[in-house]
Amino acid sequence: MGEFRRVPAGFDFFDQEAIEKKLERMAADGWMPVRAGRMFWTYKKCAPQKLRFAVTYFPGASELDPEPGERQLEKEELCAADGWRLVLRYDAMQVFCTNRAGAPPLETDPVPRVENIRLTLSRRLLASRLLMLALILWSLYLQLSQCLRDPVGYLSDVSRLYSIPSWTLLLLLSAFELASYFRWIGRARSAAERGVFLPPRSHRWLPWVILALVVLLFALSRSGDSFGEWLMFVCVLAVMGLAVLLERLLLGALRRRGVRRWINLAVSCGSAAVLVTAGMIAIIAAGIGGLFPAGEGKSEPVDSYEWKGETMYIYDDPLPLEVEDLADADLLWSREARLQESPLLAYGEYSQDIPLTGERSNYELRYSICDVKFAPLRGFIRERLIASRQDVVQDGEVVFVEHFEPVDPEPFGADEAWRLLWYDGYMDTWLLFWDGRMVEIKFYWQPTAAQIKTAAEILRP
Amino acid sequence: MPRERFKTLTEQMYYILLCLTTERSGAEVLEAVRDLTGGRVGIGSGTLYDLLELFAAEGMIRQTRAEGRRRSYVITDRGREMLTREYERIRAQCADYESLFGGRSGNG
Repeated sequence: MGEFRRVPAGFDFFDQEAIEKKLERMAADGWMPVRAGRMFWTYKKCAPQKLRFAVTYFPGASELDPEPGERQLEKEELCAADGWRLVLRYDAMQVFCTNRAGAPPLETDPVPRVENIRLTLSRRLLASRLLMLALILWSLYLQLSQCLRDPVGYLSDVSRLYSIPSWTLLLLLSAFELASYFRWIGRARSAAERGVFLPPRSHRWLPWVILALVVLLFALSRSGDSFGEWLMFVCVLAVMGLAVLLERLLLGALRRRGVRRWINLAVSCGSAAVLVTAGMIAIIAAGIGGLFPAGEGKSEPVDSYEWKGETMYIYDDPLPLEVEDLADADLLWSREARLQESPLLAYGEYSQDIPLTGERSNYELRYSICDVKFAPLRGFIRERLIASRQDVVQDGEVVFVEHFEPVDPEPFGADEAWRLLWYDGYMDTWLLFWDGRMVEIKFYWQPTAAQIKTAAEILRP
Repeated sequence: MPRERFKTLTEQMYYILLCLTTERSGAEVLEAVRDLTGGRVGIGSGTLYDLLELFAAEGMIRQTRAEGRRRSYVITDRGREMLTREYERIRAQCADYESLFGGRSGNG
């Protein structure tokens, strides 16, 4: 066995009692702590001895300080004069030990003890959690506004849909940690006035459980992604990991060189931010350059043509309703289908267009089919689809008409039908509603009653 | 530390202030408290440091000398006022006790 051992910390930063007991056990086994860390503590071999340990916190100290401050040294000297020898410092934590069995404890009054922990905790937790809370709320706001703006697109896209529960879980975690912190302050201060020390409650497994759930949700949301999309995600993770590593290495190196705390922090975080920015620009550039191909699951073009200097693609995706089902036409079309599905919604956008260089004809078709699987959402989706076209209003007056108006659903055999009123007349664009299925269809020609009936029969659930 | 906290003093706060009616350093306060109370009240050195900082910040004591990292303090008028108020509170408690039990112990 070597002279040094690295042992997983296995306790919370503020769990003084657990740390002291662990250190006493290690000393009795002949291991003295020499360095503390977030995940691991390092011990050095020594003669087995019966020692008492005391863990305290010096709120002004930071792991970024190149040297302990004068006040911190003053406290350590006072403790040494009373028989408590400093073993190590870690961030705001100070670990002392004594071999005097009858030495009074290092901390005997819960009032300053609670205050020290409160100040240290607030420095470590408060700013970061408040920042995180603001970030989460902002992200949730963005997600919800996207959902309101385009509910069909959002709710049928699993990668976006699962982000709301993920952010909500993180929001609950941050709120819980902040609530626990403030609750502890109130209770601990009041207990300290009565001479009782109430340690902060440790929930060290909770963040890991939440993180595991978030990762699970993320994996679920990305389960349909292509290799290229996963590759891009791995690249993003690698950039983030490298940034964290760079920041940690710089923090340590600058601290050892005696650089002051705030300069160290600014340089290290700034360097990490530069690395992240550069990495993201490189990833975006690689994405534009086609390094992360999107999707074996998505359709590939069958042909292409040049139009005004641009390459246009022709697709031959299967469509549920085709122009040929309605009219006797034989033209070259590009048939494109974009499908996405979540546990709440299945959504498909279909188009049958004539190439821009092709023979001009009105026989083109565009439609979308939305199947709402989660019944309570039907009313909301229906309203949003109807409201997707709005009149242009200026100073309280309608300056341009563009909205759906209810029409007789009977020709479609639908429960409900709406037609687009645009400028001064109806367009051949309809919204059709059946139980759970909502269709928006645009004919580029004026369909006959028979064509409408056929289209509705094919598109109905 | 909110001012509210010093409405009453803990036993350790009380003895620290009491010992600082004479100028003393931290180590001397530890010794003086032990001597004064016959070892009944023990103040941890960590707690003493923290309380000296708090008292100084609240203007209840003031620093008189600094030799290296060894600083000496003495109580201020404000600290003495707090000490007197605490003394009167303890005396009032004793008086209440005595009005019930006379000079006898409550255990009979």
